[in-house]
Amino acid sequence: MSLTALGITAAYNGSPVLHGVDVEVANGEWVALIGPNGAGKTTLLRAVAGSIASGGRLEVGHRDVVGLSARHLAQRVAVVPQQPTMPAGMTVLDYALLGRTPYLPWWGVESGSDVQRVLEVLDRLDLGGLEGRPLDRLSGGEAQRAVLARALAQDAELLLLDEPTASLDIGHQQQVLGLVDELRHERGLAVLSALHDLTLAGQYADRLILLHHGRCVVQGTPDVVLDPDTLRARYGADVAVLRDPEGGLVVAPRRQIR
Amino acid sequence: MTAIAAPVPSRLRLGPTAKVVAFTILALLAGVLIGPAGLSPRQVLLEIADHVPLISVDSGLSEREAAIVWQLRVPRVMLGALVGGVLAISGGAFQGVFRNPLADPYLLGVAAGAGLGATIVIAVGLGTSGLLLPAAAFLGAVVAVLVTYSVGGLGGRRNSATLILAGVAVASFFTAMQTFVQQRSADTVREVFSWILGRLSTVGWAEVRLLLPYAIFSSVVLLASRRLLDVLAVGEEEAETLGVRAARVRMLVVGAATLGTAAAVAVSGLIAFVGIIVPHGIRLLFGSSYRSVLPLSLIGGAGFLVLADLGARSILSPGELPIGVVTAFVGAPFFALILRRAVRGDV
Repeated sequence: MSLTALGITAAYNGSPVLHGVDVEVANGEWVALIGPNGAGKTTLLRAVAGSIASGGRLEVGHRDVVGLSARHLAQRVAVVPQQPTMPAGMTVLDYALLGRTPYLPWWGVESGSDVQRVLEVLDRLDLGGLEGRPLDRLSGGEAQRAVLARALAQDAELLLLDEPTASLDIGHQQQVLGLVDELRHERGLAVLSALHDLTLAGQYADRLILLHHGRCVVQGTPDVVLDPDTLRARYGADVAVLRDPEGGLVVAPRRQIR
Repeated sequence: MTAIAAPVPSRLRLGPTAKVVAFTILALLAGVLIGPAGLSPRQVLLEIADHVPLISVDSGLSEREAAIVWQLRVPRVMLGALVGGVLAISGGAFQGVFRNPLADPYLLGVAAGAGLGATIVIAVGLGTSGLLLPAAAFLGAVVAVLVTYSVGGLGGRRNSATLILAGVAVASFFTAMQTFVQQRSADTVREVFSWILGRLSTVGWAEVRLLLPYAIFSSVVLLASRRLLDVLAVGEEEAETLGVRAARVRMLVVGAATLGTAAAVAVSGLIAFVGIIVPHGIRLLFGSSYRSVLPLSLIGGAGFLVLADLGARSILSPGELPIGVVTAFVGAPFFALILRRAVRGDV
């Protein structure tokens, strides 16, 4: 098991946001967190990433993260934030190289092999040739792949994605999620993502966890979780769940007749 | 057919370094060669060479002229270089650690604290000579930043924004106290004012010796942190997910920059804008990676302040303009330009 998170609790300014959530993700598995706005998806990801204080048991690669330094945690867990900061003027190569930070001593600099590793990652993500381009001159899809490259350069076993497709058009959404899908199979990466789009969540993830008010209300395969009655109860949404010819699920909103 | 160069990460490159080093060497030469005494450049250079270990040459200068070179011009140029270098690298580091292009080394109250310390010494009649004034200014600067840090950390919510706000509050408070002390002894206003506008007038090497260890310590720590400042460019939370304890880096960088700046202010007064214009000039010319911004600011800042000092003592010769007036005269328009670019999101 790459991630074992049991009874995770977290609070913002004293108000509890997560009330004992359990999540397990195996190597090579993709688990998607779904749920309405404010359900606690991002908070759970931030708790797993160590960005906020949390309670409960948290193990990455069978190692309790309590007592792990930020550096050692970053060697195990890589994060693709919802709205990454992309410093204007920084080149794609410099940006992706930030992902090697967990392997460098405090005052060290990247070695030739770090650069080589990052160039391989950039090639794999079709960013070869854009190494010297400033981040502010990338398209939306290229920018998202640059963020992914930075995360992959960490060589972590667990990848956390917070709404990785939020600002992308449908083509780039498929491109980025397809890439994550290939990479988790290639490298045995465990992926935990928050996804708003239920169809994408159902198409790409092996398992879904539906959070509501900081609690896990349903979890299981997309077939189990993407149930029209469950979604109506939790989202207040009227949806049709259709099966496409390939066997995947499509969640389509329906106009509510009043 | 031209070969495509392999992509390389940003680092300090030879070309820009050579240009900035050449600029600073020319500034240092101008600083020691130009002066009201009208000494011949050849003799001045020979006199300086005579002080290099294992070299003995006769410059042909009289004892008085030799003293002008070695006890007035050279220490003044060295002091200008040290102060300029420290202020510029500290400014660059502050801009990185606070991710704020308008940050300068005085952001957390160094200037106000030093101003209060110096004003107290001047107001109670202890004079402007000797080591008491720099010691009081240094102490005031360090105390102000410590107060800022403790106020900014109240409630356990110390981040860049709360620290900057705390810096504003502490600076206002210290400035108010300084004004109060100054009002109580109005006869010393002129001396206080002259200190606040900054000056490099020095006789002998005392100030250089005083500043040198702080300048070395501060520069070494800041230069060693330059890659971490590049990591902080993605914001504190993302930097943490990359394994960097942002608060620790911030404290180290602020500590080192404060010590250097406080020591510089203690011997030279408040010289404005160097910490902003030099790092931004380097960024505009050679790129924004702190791997090059910090070392080149250190070198370029040294040359810039030596030239500014040359202006300060030449424009109204034989009188002197406070050097802070010269740097502000160049700096204010440049600052406005940076502000415009920052508002448009280009910096």
